[in-house]
Amino acid sequence: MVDISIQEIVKEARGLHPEISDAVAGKLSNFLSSDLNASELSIISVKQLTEELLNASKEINEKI
Amino acid sequence: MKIKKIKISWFRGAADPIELDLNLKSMVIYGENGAGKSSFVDAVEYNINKGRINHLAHEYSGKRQEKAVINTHMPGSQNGVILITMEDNSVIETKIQQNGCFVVNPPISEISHWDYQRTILRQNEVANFIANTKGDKYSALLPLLGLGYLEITAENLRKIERNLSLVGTLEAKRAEIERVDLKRNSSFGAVDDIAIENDLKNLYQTYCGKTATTETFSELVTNTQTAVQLKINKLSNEQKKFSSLLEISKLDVATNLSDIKISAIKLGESAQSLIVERLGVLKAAISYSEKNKDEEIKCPACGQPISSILFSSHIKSEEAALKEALANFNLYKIHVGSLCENLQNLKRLLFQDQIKDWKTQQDTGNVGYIESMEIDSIRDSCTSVIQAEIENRIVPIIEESKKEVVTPLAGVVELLTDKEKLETLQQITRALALKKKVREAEELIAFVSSLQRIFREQIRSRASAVIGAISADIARMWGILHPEERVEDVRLSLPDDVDKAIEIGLKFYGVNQDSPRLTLSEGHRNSLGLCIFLAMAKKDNKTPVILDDVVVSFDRNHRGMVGTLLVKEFSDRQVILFTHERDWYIDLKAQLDQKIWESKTLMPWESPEIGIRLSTRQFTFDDARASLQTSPDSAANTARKIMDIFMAVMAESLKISLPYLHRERNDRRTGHEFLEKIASSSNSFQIKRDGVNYESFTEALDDIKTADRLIVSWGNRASHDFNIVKNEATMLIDACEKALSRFTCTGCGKEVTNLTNEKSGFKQCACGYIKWKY
Repeated sequence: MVDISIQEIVKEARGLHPEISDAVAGKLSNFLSSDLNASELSIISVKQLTEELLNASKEINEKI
Repeated sequence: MKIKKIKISWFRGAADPIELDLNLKSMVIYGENGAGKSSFVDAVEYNINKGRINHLAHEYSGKRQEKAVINTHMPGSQNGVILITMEDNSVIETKIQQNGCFVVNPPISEISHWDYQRTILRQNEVANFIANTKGDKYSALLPLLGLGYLEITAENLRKIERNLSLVGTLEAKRAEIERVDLKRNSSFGAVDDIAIENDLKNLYQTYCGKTATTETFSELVTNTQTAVQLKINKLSNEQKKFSSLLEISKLDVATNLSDIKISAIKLGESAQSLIVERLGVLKAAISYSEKNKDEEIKCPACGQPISSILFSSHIKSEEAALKEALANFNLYKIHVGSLCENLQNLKRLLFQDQIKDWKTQQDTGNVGYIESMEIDSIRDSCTSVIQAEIENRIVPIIEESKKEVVTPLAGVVELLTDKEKLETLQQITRALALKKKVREAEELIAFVSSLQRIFREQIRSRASAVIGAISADIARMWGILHPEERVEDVRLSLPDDVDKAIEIGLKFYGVNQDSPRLTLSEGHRNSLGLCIFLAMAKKDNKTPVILDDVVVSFDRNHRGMVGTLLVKEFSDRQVILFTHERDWYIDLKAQLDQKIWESKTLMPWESPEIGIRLSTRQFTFDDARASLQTSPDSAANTARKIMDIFMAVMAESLKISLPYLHRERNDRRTGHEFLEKIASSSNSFQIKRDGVNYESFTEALDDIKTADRLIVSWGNRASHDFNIVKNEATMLIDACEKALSRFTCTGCGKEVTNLTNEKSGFKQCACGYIKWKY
């Protein structure tokens, strides 16, 4: 296992994309820290994670 | 931490428990092909990789590799078992059931933290590091650099990024938004959002009779639509009939069909240009690959090989062509969507009571066609046949409706125009929700893309640091394996222009080469792969180094250098070396320091029930005995070959000189020549029988003479006449084994070559019981 700070990487990426919600950042952070990430994701895992991320993405207040 | 013992039963080739006692030393283990050497390597890998063995990962090995990991003849009552005893006497026990389920106790141990890539190197993996392309080298080397985890993470992020667009159905959402925008322009013109909102507020005031205050856009649309519908419900029958026919007359199905045809033609044109483009790329790539294979890159967009120089422009043109095709496809879908919306409205209107009489005057076949239409299937596939049917059956009905509304009916036209506007506004509201989702997904994609980029930057900077740190080791180890060869300055590097690539450069007779493949032979490339592995294994790592048959493509001279390399660079590490090369095994026994190295031999394989067996004998005569029953000639011949190899090594150690022969014949001396010379040196081989004085070791000399005599008569006959019988072969093998055993002390167990006294000119075993004066 490589010694790397996932929190720092996610923080750096959020600095570039401040609109990203805590929920999305949290989900990706968990994913990147988990054992699951030690192997290549299957198609099903990618789809499931993608759906979770889309559901967790932040609400945007929109006019017309 | 070193390994003390590896014990396996019913695992891979093992049957009853077989224990490899390493005695905390380095070890060279000899065994014929199939003797079971790799089963011990697999046992270590199984523990490192948590129940997986990479070379067994294929479709026939079963979900848990149970068909390959378990001995095929394991009794039902047994489990596959691996017991690994470590330096601190901790034991890691792995029990594997017939179905491949396994339990490791303790689950977390020293070995579970080891990195396979830096611990084990197998024969088929040596060449991986010197793979064909930069990308392949990257895939093989990155895990070795300890960065495989980061690469997999970056790759997973890339998959998620790509999938966000698919799962979020972004293209379909964008197409729907575009369709609504077109409708908005057609209903309201090119006005801004404020103008549209004001228009809505006016409609709200007109139909609801009050001024909009705190209502949202969506609430204003819904409330106004309700008020308009109430007003339509109150129209007279004649007005209602007019309104329905007016609605039908406005369904511009003919234009829809025309738009679909035009966009289909454009779609076909862009597909054609794409095919031409791809053929051109393929031609260029083939031409290039013939000139210089080492610079090939596989295009991620189309999968074609292409030069690195052309790569960038190829991707741009490929991308532009694909974007144009995609835009045309979206436009086509938009027009089909508009057609379906109009058909849906027509179907709904035709069921209204107010136009019942008018409907009976129309062609019943055409009316029936409309009423039975499945709009969703048309949305999925709007073929030219369907388009023709719509043109022939539906367009005439709409044309008929137009005749009925030539003279406007007061109050109705305006009401219907407003109703249509409100429907567009309702679609705009839905499109807003879609826009929000698209934006969310786009932001998410950009975020994941940034994460991936940061990981790639991490990989690059770490790879660069590791490569810098090991380059000197690689060059030094290469120098040991290839002294006096003018291949120097072997180095790894990261190309500036490509993300996923590692290059290996070197200087060949003073000329810089970008790739080992340009000048190095297969054997040299493999020895370079071995150097890269050993350099990484040496770095920040204290695990044993396990080498499984890695010198297959090396000649005898370079195999000898591997021994030198291990002595020079890995004296402080435990090295476990498996080989099927008998002469190398014998060379190593003479070459390696017996204080830190031991050697063992495996018996030839017989059956799954018997499994792997360690030989109790010091030499490799079990290989010869294995064929005694079926082929005495072969058995005797093997014994003769063993003597040729062993005696050549022994004679060199004992500094026995023989008359010089012509050229390479010096390298092809037979065991007989050395035995004959030793047998005649009665004063050289001595024994301290009384513990004080040395005397001639006559029993040894007699045994050596006997072995020599039998080799000359039966060994040579086995090689040439093939008519030796079993008893003769047995006697020959026994005599050879006995003769060789005389060079090992019966007291301390060390060979007579163990210690050297240069000053007095003799060699002796560790305790001095036997010695050789040279």
